[in-house]
This record gives sequence, structure tokens and C-alpha cells, in this order.
Amino acid sequence: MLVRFNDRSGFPVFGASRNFPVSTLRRELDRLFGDLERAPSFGGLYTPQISFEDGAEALKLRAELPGLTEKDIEISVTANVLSLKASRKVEAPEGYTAHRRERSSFSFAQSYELPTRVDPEKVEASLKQGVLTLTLPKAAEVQPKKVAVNVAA
Amino acid sequence: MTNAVQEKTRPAREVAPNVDIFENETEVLVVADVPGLDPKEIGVHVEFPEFRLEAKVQGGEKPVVYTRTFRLDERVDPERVNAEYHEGVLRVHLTKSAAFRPRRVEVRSS
Repeated sequence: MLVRFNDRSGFPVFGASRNFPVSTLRRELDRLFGDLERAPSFGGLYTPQISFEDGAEALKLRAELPGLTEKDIEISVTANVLSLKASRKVEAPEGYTAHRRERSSFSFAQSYELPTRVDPEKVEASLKQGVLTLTLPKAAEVQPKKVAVNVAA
Repeated sequence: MTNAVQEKTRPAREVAPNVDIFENETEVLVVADVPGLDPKEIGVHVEFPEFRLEAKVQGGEKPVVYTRTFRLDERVDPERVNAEYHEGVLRVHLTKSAAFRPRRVEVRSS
């Protein structure tokens, strides 16, 4: 049976959802009690929401990167490894005082071992409204082939 | 046995987007991370004294609803709210009523 790469143990390291109820709770508590221990723990560990999909002809990655432009993203692909780097800097606009700061700056870098070989030349990336979509067409040798059945005379 | 009435709505995952709130002399600025939206799908509702952001993302396994509600105080003019959406970031400008903006008073000497 073909294993979806979502299911492969240890692959990939999915970003812990920042929207888990427990993190919402934590945020609300932080807000309630102020910045008692604003350790760099959360800011440093911030991982964008990333999801993968194993299609018939291509692997797909979708990453939520609000506020980023092409310049903030670096992607490199070999036949079986995808590396993604992204960073953003959130700054208060000039002349404003901040009442609440939940949007964090981050610097994210992760490499993923791909479950099938892909054709690095044909990889396409697009960024639209803060969502990065990567399409990694599978290499010719792993594309499904139709097997003709010969009828014996 | 099948039910006569079947549920058609898919439960949406509700997400409270992260926001920054800034203020200067003329306005309050709310910045929210809400990637992947069609600008037409973003709702910014001002029902004084409530201010609500709401947007729905279709697709994926489950639709996602971004929602966040705030309470406004009387300094904000509910008629003068405008919003812009770029790179998945929503910026809502809530203009302060003229009466609550600082006005510099000249001191004249006779």
C-alpha cells in the first residue's frame, strides 16, 4: 500500500498549530497576567501553518505566511529534499503606540525529506495573499505507468 | 434507517487570528494575520460598541472561520472605519472622533 506522506512517522515536522485551544488559552492568560515571563520561548518556536498533500502526479505544500513577499522566502529543491526558509519582521508603525502585540516576527527554516523523487526543474511556487503554494511534480520514474495486457493468441 | 433530516453544514474550524493594535492621535489601527482570503469575503462589522472581524475560507478539509471581536470605546467614530488587505494581512483603520483628537491650543499674548 502506498503511504501518504502525511502519515510517515517523523516526516515532516508539522508546525504545531498556533490555534490549538491550549495556545489560545495561553495567549489569553498571558494577556491577563501581562508579560510576566515573556521568555523568547514562543516567539522563537513560531512555526507557520504548513500542510502537505500527496497527489497522483505531484506533491503539494501549502504554507501560511501572512505579511511576507517573495523576497522573504527562499526555497531550494533537490530530487528528494525540500528546504524552505522564511522570515518576517513585525514592526510597530512609526508614531503609534502599541496596545497589543500578538503577531510575532519569526525566522523559520526547515528541510523535508520527500517521500518520492521529484523533478526539481519543474517545481513551481506561488505566493498569493500570504499563502505559499508549492507544486513538486513527481519524477518521471515514479509517475504511474499504464501496463498493457497482451492477449495471447 | 436514515434520518429524514440530514446535516449538510460542515463544521467550520474557528480560528482567532493574531492581531496587533496600535493607536496614534488620529486613529486606532488593528492589524490581523488572515492569510489566503478573497478580499470580498472579509467582513469588518462595526455595531457599536462592538467591532468584529469575520472571514470564511473555503477549501481544504474543513472551512475555516476567522473571527475576533473587540469592544470599542466612544473615541472611535463608527462611521469612519476603513480596511485594506495585502499579503494576507488585514489592516483596519478606526478613525477617532474629532472631539477626542488632541487639539493644540495656541496661547496668545496680548
